[in-house]
Amino acid sequence: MKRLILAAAAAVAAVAHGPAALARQGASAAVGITIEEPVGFGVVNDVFLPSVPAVSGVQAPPVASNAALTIFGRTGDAVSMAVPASFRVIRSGGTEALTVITNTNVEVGLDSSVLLGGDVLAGNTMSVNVGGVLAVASSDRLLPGPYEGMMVVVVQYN
Amino acid sequence: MKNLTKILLGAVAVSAIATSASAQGSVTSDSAAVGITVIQPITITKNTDLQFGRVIKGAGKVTVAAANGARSFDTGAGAPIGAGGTVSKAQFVVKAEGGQALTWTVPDTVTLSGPGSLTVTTLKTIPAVTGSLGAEATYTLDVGGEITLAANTPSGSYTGNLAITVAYQ
Repeated sequence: MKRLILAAAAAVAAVAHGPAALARQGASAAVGITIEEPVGFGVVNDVFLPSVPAVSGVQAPPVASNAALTIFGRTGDAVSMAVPASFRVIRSGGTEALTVITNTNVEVGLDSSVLLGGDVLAGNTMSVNVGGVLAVASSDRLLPGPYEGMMVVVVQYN
Repeated sequence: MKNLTKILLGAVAVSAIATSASAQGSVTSDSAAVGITVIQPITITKNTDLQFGRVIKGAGKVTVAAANGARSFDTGAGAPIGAGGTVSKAQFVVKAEGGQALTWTVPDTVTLSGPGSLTVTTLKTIPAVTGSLGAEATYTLDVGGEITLAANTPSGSYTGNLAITVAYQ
């Protein structure tokens, strides 16, 4: 008799479960976000071009260095760096300008820009050097003085 | 024909008397309406997940709007900024009987786990009852969210689960 009652109760429970499930439904969606370390770079050295003698026969000591940049970001992520193909330097206190052609140790070359394209950071930093070539023709009549300019470099995650 | 009509009337009268006599005895009768409302089962289909995409870390809020799934950020120095990735609001399509009140259960917050723990505050608008009995009603539930990041939130991938339920009231 007890078995019969239990069996009947189980049957009722089974029947009740079906309609209840149909009257109430659930679903779920994934939620996610990926947080990255900021990418950027630090300037270790600026670009220094050698001094150029303005008067023939007078030699100025060549003091020059390339720009040294350190890119930092998240290890394993690809970064791109855009460096202008050239930039201008202007005489301090004047308007005379010279054009510096850039080059880098990781030059890929894309369009008119020098570009480090999609290199994956092996660590969380990467060093890039940027140098420059200043072509001065003998016919150029340059005014002596310091020439300065700005080279804008852009680094981004791919 | 006239005789037949009289006989039928007589039979009805006898029947009425018999019922009355019976009602005065130990048997009574009454009636109850019998009815059933058949409604269709609820179905839910998830169309999209709630994805905030890839974000450069910073202190501030990242929001995915429920209305259009657009991502936005707090502004200012040091605030997080977007860096691509898949961005979408969560979207569920619910089918139920038209004109029937529904109870929607959508959590106010969702916890994401990863290198640390993040809390998503959900943004949603519960759909109003639509349609009428006898026809299927289709509802779209869009869920967006907000996450407030700290400057020292560990970078990495965070995941969680947004579970909803819909039931007839």
